[in-house]
Amino acid sequence: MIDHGNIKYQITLKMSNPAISIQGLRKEYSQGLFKNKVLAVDDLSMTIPEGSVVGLIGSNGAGKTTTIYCILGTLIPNEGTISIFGHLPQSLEARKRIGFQSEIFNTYDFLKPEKALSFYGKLAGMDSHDLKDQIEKKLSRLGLAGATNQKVKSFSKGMNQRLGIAQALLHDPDLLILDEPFTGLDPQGRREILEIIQEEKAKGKTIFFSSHILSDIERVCDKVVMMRKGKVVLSGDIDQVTSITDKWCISVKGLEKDIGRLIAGIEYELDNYDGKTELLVHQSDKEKTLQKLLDSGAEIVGLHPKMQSLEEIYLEIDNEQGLS
Amino acid sequence: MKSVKLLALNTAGYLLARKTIYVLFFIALIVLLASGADLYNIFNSDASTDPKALLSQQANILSRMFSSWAALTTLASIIAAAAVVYADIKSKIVLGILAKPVSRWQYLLGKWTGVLLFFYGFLAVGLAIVMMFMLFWDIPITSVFLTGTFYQVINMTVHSTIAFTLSLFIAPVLAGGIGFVFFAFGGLFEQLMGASMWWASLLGSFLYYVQPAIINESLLQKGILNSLLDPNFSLYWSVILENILYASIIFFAAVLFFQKRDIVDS
Repeated sequence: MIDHGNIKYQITLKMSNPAISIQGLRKEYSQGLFKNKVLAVDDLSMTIPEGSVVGLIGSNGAGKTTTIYCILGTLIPNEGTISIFGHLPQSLEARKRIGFQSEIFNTYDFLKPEKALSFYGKLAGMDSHDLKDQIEKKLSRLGLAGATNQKVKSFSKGMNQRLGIAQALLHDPDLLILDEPFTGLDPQGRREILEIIQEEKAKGKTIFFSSHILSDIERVCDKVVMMRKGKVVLSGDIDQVTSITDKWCISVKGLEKDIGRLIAGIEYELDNYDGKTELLVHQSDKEKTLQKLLDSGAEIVGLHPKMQSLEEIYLEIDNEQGLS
Repeated sequence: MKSVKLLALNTAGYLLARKTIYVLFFIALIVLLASGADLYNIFNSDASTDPKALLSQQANILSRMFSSWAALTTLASIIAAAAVVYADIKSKIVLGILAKPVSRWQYLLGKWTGVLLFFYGFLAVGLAIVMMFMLFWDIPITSVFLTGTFYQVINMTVHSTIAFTLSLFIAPVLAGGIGFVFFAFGGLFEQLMGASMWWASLLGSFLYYVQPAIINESLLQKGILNSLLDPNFSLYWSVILENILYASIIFFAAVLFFQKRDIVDS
């Protein structure tokens, strides 16, 4: 409450809810004749802010799809809480704002694409005028405009995936959840889906998707979450995650032939390109190497921490956990 | 309710496209072929035929036609009801539906009413054929006859509801099998109650009290032969109402349990 003379102002700080908030999620399955318990997700917590693009990565069986199904409310967690824009996953308020596409999109194959989209649009509560307009736009955007006379049963895997994306986008949801959206797509289709993700991001939508194509995650995501055996093993901003390294790159000009002698006793890797020499040294040797190079009159043209690709990080974690 | 209507119409369309309709046409053909010889005899009867005997023949064939029609339709409805949600779950179509603002109860109600609507339509065709014969032969449509047809409709509803609700929790083959056993062998459970072996008697008692109520006489034939109000009329209706209540309760209970279960395996 702010007192300003005779006027009192009630200030309400409106905290925006994160798009997805998961706290301590645990999900186990019963499997086989004796109902053996299998732990699919263990103590998973994450927050996905509105407007961000978050990629979920992990090997098969890491718990990615289980996590997505829990977010959608189709699986009931054993422990933990999930909220979508501050609502429970099974609430209609939450689902009005979600667009979802499953790994292999299936729909009633006796329908033609327009009828199939009309079915999903009506379920999402769209009015018929808006629906007709959006169906036309989405079919055209996803390259299905030429397939309107075909029944879904004659669709290829890629066409089904495109239809799946179209139904997820149809009602202009605030949150897009895509489970392996690139499955079954050719390079052209993959590029189009990446473009759509970027377009939705530009509109301020939140996108959460799982994928095995790490270069795509790196290209479009702001954040990445990596799962192993039901647990989060790595999460953070893409830039932050890929720069986590204990090695530094020092670029020098000249003295290429004398490098070995100049920094004798320091462990290094050497690369030559574009008339420059790039030295890769351990963080603990950085200062010492720089000093030696400066003392010898070498021209230092660059210094930056060694960036790792998501794939390198992924494989490194796999190796650490003995999975690869 | 818009979602329920949409899902119901979609389910009916799905059944139509799943070639179920061809099975039903085949059923209809069997029924008509089985009645063909008797119909031929009735159409070729002359003025010397005793009107009472003729009416009895007509009542017999018409009730047989509609009962067979209804029985085969009920069997088809049990199979469809047991498979319809399972098919959505197995193909993961259910994920796309429940990711939209559709409650689980709306989904189930839509699928259930879709199956029922489709098979009510087929029963209505059978009834229309029987009624055409009745009009042609100047047979009055009595309240007992209409009660009999309504009993057939509810009988189909309750048995397909058993298969539908059980299929949400157990394998569809088992769910359909239980629905079929109740439908086809329901009349035998009372006899099993009197069996000398204790376990058979116990099983008979259990099944007798668990199964939907049965009317052990042909109301259709009775309704055609006798235009007077039947003294057991209110009893018939209490059986019908009991079965409506039975179907409603098991559906409601299934919806409640379905709210808290995992829908798909990841």
